[in-house]
Amino acid sequence: MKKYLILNDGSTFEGESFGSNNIGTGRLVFNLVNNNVTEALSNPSNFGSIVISSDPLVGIREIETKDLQSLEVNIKGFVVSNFLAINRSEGISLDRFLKEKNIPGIYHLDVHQLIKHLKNKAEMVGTIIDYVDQHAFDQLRAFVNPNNLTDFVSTKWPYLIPGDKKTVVVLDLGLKTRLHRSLTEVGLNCVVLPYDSSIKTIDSYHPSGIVITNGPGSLKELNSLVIKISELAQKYSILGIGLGQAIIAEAFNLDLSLKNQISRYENQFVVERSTGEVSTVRDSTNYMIPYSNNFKKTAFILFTDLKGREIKAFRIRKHNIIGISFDIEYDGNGRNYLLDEFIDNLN
Amino acid sequence: MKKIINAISLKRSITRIAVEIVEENNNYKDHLIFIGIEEAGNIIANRLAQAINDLEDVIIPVLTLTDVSKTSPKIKDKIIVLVTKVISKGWLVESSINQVLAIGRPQAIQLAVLIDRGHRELPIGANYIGKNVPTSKSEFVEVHLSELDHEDSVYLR
Repeated sequence: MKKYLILNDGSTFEGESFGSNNIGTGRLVFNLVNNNVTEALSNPSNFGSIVISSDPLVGIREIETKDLQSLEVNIKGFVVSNFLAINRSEGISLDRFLKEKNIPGIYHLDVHQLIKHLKNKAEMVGTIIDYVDQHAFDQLRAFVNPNNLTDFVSTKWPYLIPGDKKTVVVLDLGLKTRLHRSLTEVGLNCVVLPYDSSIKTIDSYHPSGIVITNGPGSLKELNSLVIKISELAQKYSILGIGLGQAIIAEAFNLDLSLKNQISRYENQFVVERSTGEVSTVRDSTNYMIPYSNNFKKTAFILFTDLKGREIKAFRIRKHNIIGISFDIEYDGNGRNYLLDEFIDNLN
Repeated sequence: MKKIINAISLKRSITRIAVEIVEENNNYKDHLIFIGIEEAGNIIANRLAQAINDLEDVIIPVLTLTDVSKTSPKIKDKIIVLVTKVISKGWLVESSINQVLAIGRPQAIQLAVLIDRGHRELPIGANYIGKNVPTSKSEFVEVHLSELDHEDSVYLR
């Protein structure tokens, strides 16, 4: 059966249908990491979006339930170039998983062409639908992207991840399982709180530090959190990952710019400033911190991109406050050392 | 012999000490002097100076203890950072402090060590420590530096 991906700039891409037969509308997000389907589907940072995977062939591996990054799978559609339908007696195939979760999918769609079309374009919305007419485009144009994405993915109630070391507060902007696992692995006692918890609530758990997670939201909707963090920074050690880094940067008035492109989850190379080591990391943030001499007055640079133009990780001077734009739980050799350094310096 | 620190962690430790020195001393520009206690200390002092140069674009003078006793540089108003590879009992550091004090009274004397292996016999503590390695008395820490031993690493023996 034919299915179409239509975009709000009026273009149409054609492919074959798999997964559920529903209609799905949402912002477009690239997943440029291969062998990563389970995570792409369930990453809270992809909330409410149509995920376009550049993986040349998906469906060979079944969905690994242990790799699911959140309990709820909340993407609106899945676009791949090639899909191999293998019926297995064991494990959950991608097709079955998408049907169970009511997510429409398209395969045999020219993803290369699509990515080229969307290159250098700012955020865009699309619909996966099985017919194309003016009405479909009208509905797509009427679609309003929710501007409180953090509200949807953040936990509603506090909960505890028990550990036998120091207590930290985790502000949940979209906590995913892998970060959750890393925090357990290092033995931190984590109190996971909703992103809009008050300073008083945070104080009441007497934490040694605060971890701010990555998430789908934007700084616009998190203004009150930025103000809170600039106050909390005087008292606590803070580790910010992805969007968390952007919040720290904003709280300390560092230069910060919004990447003018569709959100993407991709492999990148970073250079560690102190050792010159190059490693691959997974990066999904929409904000970037340009390299400037002014920056050095406020913070030490820990990681940059290969050209040294973009700051990937920094530590604020005279504070144990670390901001990292990439996933801390993944680099080629395992956990990033910055997590251990942050824990060593907890007061 | 067990490797406890590899080349990359050693570099990270040195950068971390450099950062701590910069953060601790507000007026470090024009005031800081590194003095390497022994040959390895001297090499580490040079690397610290290089790390601070990378971070802050400031050149910190590096002297050896022999320079200090021979040339008697002016150290009034200076912050002296003694640098050594391993601190254990503390006698070596104590005699180095005395050598510095023999030529005058600086603003402050601080101590940076790569490894603190415990067993102190004097009331001396290091201001900047790369890594604490608790050892028994029969265990020894060997610091290898590429300038001397063709590799950067620390072994526990």
